[in-house]
Amino acid sequence: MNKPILLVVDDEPAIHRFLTPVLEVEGYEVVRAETGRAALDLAQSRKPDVIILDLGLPDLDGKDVIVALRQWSATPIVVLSARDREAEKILALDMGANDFVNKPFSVGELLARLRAALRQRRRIDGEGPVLRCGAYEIDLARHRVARDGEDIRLTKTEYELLAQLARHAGTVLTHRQLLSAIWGDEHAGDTQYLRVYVGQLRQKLGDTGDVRLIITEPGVGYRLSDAG
Amino acid sequence: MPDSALRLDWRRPGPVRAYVEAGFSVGAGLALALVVSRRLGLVDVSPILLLSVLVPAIRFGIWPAVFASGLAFLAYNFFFIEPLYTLAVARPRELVTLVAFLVVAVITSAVAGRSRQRAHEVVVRGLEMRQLYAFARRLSSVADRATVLATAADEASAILGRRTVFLLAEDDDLTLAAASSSATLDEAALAAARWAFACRELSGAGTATHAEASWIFAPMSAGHRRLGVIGVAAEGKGAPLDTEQVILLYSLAEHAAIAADRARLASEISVAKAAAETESVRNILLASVSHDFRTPLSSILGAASSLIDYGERLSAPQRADLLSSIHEEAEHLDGMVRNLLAITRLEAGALDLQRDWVDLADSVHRVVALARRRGASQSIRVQFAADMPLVRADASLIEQALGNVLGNSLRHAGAGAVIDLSIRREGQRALVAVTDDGPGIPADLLPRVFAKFARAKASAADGGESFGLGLAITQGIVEAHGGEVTAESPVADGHGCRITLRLPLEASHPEDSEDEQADPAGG
Repeated sequence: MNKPILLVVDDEPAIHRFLTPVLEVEGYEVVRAETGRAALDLAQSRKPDVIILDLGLPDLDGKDVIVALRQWSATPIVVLSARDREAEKILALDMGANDFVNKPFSVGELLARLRAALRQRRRIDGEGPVLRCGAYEIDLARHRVARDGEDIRLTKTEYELLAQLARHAGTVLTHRQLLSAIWGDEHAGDTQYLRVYVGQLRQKLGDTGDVRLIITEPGVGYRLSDAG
Repeated sequence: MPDSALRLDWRRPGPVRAYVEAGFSVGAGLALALVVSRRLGLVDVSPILLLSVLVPAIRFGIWPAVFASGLAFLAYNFFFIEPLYTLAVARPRELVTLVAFLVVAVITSAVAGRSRQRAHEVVVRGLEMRQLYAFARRLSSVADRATVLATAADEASAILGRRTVFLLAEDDDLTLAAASSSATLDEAALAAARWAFACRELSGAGTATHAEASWIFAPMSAGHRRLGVIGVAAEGKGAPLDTEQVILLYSLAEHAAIAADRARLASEISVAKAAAETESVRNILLASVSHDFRTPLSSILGAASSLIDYGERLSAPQRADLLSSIHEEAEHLDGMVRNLLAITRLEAGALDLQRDWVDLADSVHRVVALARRRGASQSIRVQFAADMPLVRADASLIEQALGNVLGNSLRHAGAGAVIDLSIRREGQRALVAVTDDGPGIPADLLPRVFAKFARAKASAADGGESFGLGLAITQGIVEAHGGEVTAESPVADGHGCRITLRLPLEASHPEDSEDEQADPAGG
C-alpha cells in the first residue's frame, strides 16, 4: 500500500519543523504549504489523503480554504485552532472540516485525529456493520448495542444519537450536526435536548468513569472514543 | 420695559445744548414771525411760534420743550401783543396762548420721547441680541467646562459692565467656578446665591431677598437641571439692575448653562472614549499575547511530545533538531516575556534604569550574536568608530532595545537581506543606526511605526516574536535614557529602512583614574 499523503498547511515554519519528522516516521508522505493558495494548488495536484489546516493563514481565511476544498473534494480535513476560539472551530466544522486539534497540541493527539480521519474515510467505503469500541459493540445493521456481550436497551432517539456518533467514531460532531441529524434542522439550536439525551445515554451505557466512550468537546460537540 | 402709557421722563433735564438749540429754534420762529407779520400784515403769528416749540419738543424732551414754550410765549408777548415791546399781560387771551404753548410742548415731547425711547430700545435689543449671539458663539468654541465658564464670566462682564461670577452646585453647595476678575464673595453674597439657586429666582442687591448683599444672583439651569447661579456685582449700593439688564442676565445665564452642560457631556464622552481605548488596547494586547505565545508554545509542546513518544524512531539529527527548536522557541518566549514586562513597566512609568558605563559596540555584537544563534540567515554587518566613548545606560535594556530593532529588520527585510549596524558619535550623542535593504516601511505605517501594535501585516507570519510592541518598547527604553529614536524609509532606491537610536553622552567620562580605583582583585 502506498504511503498516505498528508498536506500540512501552516504559516509557521516552526510547526512544520517538528511535525514533518514525526509524521514521516509514522509513515506519511508530508507535503508542506504555508499559504491558503498554495494549499488549494497542492490539494489539487497531489491529491492528499488527509489535510491538516491551520485556520490563521496570512493570505486566506482558513474557513474559505475549507469551503473552496469542499467544492470538489471530500478529503478529510483536520483544523488547527486556538483553544479559546470555539466559534471559529464550530464554523470550520460546520463548513465541512472533519475534526480539530487545539493549539498548542501534542503530536500524539494530532496523530490520533489523523488516524480517525483516515479510518472514517475507509469506513465509508464499506466496513462491516458492527463497530467495536472497547467493551462496547454497536451493530448498526441490527440496531443492537451491547457492553461486554450484554444487550443495552436504548430508546429510538438514544440509539440514533449513539449510532450517529459511532458512524463518525473518533471524529468530533458539532452540536448543530448532531441536532439536525437526529431532531431535524429546525432544532439545530436546541442544545439542551442534546445535553439531556447524552446524559441519559451515558447513564444507560454505564459510561460514567474517567475514560469515557462519549467524549465532550467543550463548546463544540461530542466525539465517540475510538480507543480500542 | 412694559410701558404703554405716555412716557414722561421727568428725571432728565437734558443737556445745555438742548436749551441753546431750543432758544435758537424759538429765535428762528420769532424772526420768521416778524418777517411774515411785517410783509404780509398778518396779525396772529402764534402758529409760527408754536411750530418753533414743536422742534425742540420732538428732539429734546420735556424740559427743553417747556423752556422753548416759555421763551416763545415771552417773544410773542413782547413783539406781537399790545402794548408792544413790553412783557405786560393785558388780557386773559394771552394766558390761554401760554397754556396752549405749554400743553403742545408737553404732549409733543412726550409722544416724541416715547417713540425715541422705542427706537432706542430697538437699537439696544439689537445690540444685546448681537452680544448674546457673540457670547453663545464664543462659548461654543470652547471645549472644557472650566474654560467655558471662565470665558462666559469674562464675556458677560464685558456685556454687563460689571464683575461677573459663576457658582456651580457641587455636593449640595455652591462653589465659585469662574470669575471675570478676582472676586471674593462674603457670607451675605453666598446666602443670596444659595437663595437664587434654591428658589430659582433673582436674589441679592436691589431684589426682594438678601438685598443687603453687594451681588445680584440669577439661577442658571440647562433644561430642568439646575447647574448653579450667575452673579454680577452691584457696584455700590443703590445701583441694582434694571429690568432689561435682568433679562440680559437671565439670557447670559441660560447660554452659559447650555454651553457648560455641553462641555460636561463632551468631557464625559471623551472619558468614556479613553476608557474604551484603554480597554481595546488591553484586548489587542491579550489577543496578541495569546496568539504570539501560542506558536512557540505549540513548537515546544510539539517537539517535546515528539521526542517523548517517537524519539526512539527518529534519527539522531532529527532528535537534535527538535531539541534545538525547543531551545530556540523557549528563547523566543523569554524575549516576549521580557518585552511584555518592559512595556508594562514603561506604561506604569516604573522603568528603573540600572545605569552603568556601556560599550555600545559590545552591546551590538551581543545582539547580533543572539540573532545568529536564533537562526538569522541574513547578512549582518557591524561598523563602529574606533574612538567611540562609553555611554551611561542600562546595558540589558539597551540590548533589548537594539534587539527589537534588529529583530524588526530581520523579520521584515526578507531572508536575503543585508543589514548594516553602525555606531558613531554625533556631537554629544552616541548614534546607532540599523539599516536594511528590505522592502521598507509602508508610507502609511511610517508615522506610527513606534506606536503599540503597529504591524505591517495583520497576521504574525514573522517568526512569532512580534506583538507589534518591539519598536514601541525600543522607543520607551531610549526615551527613558533621554535619547530619541527615529525611522526612515525608504533609504535608497525606493526601498530599505533605517532606524536610528540616539543616546546622550555624558560630559564626564570614566577616566583612567576610575580604573585605578577598581578593585584589582576583581579583575
